[in-house]
Amino acid sequence: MRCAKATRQFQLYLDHQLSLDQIRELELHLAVCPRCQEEFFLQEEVTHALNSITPVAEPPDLTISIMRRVAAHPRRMEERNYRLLQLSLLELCIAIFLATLTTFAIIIGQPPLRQSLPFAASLDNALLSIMNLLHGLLSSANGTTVLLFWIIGTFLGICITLMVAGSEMRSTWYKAMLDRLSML
Amino acid sequence: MSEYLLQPPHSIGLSLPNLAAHSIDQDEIALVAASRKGDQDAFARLVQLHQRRVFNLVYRMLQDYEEASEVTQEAFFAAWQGLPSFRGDARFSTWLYRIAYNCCLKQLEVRKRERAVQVAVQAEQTLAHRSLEERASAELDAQDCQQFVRSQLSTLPAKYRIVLVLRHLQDMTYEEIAEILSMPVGTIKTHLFRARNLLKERLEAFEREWNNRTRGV
Repeated sequence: MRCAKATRQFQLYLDHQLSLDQIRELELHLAVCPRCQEEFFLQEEVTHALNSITPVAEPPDLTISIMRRVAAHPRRMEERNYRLLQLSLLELCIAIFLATLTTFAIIIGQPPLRQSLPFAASLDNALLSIMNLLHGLLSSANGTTVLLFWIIGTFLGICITLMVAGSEMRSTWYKAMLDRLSML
Repeated sequence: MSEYLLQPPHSIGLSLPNLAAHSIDQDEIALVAASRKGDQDAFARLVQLHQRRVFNLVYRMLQDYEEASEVTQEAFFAAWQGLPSFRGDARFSTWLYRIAYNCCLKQLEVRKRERAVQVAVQAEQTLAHRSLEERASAELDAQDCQQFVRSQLSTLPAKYRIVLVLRHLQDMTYEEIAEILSMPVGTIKTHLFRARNLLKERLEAFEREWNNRTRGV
């Protein structure tokens, strides 16, 4: 075991979060590494000090004070006001940009559709050649290219959904993702 | 005697302490339900059940007894007001601690703003900027590393202080802390690691200073 790994495991060891094998591995390392031993003893000292904190007694009239306040103020019975869309301007702009990008990519893949664009006539040659190149790629695509476009499309779709969902939903999603990843 | 009675009792999947905890949980659920409907006596019982732990959490966050008492009252009052929206997805205690922690953060914010306008702030800054060595020397006479660590706890950033308080004072698991603070378990582990590391570094400096001093003497 490397010292860096051992140091990271100290707190898990002190919090009884390691498996038997991990404990054995760590203890073997501690037995032969004086530097980690010193580090571990300090960590242990800190943990002991924190564990030795004793609870303080609350003020004797705390319950009465709380209940007096509760009795003095009737409970607000207001209904929670749900708003369907709570987008900030930035989120809205990002969602519109990503949606435009996706739609544009779909149009590029369909030349007849492209011709129906109001500004199709004014498209310059450089832009047209890029579009044709992309169209060529899409039409003569092999399995890998199709997969790549599919991944990009899905990713854009997820990004748009997350933007429209708002920050509250995003943080819940992010937390759930990290929780699942940490379980791997 | 019936043969059935000679058989070892069948387990119902709950050990005795668990059974007690289960019964307490059921009581609490009933109290929460009654409180939601506006039963103040039921809420008073909930206050009695949780006030010590909530008060200690707040006190360790704020390090001021009077202020802690005021903020604990605010937290319980906010809980009373918010009970109709409590869906019971989390345990009542988890929800309550989350409210208490948010009240603490609000109070720390108020404190910070108040301090910004106080004339006395300069004196405090001087005090805060005093080097660790100086503080260590002053505290060396106490010869108490544990006391030193406890005193340093109050100087940690709030996000580190709360994980240490919940872990060591409230004896909570990583998962429970994560639920209260609405953070992933991985973040809790990182915060705990950094918080303890900060304390360890300070203790290291303190002990180094102590050794130098004893060698000097």
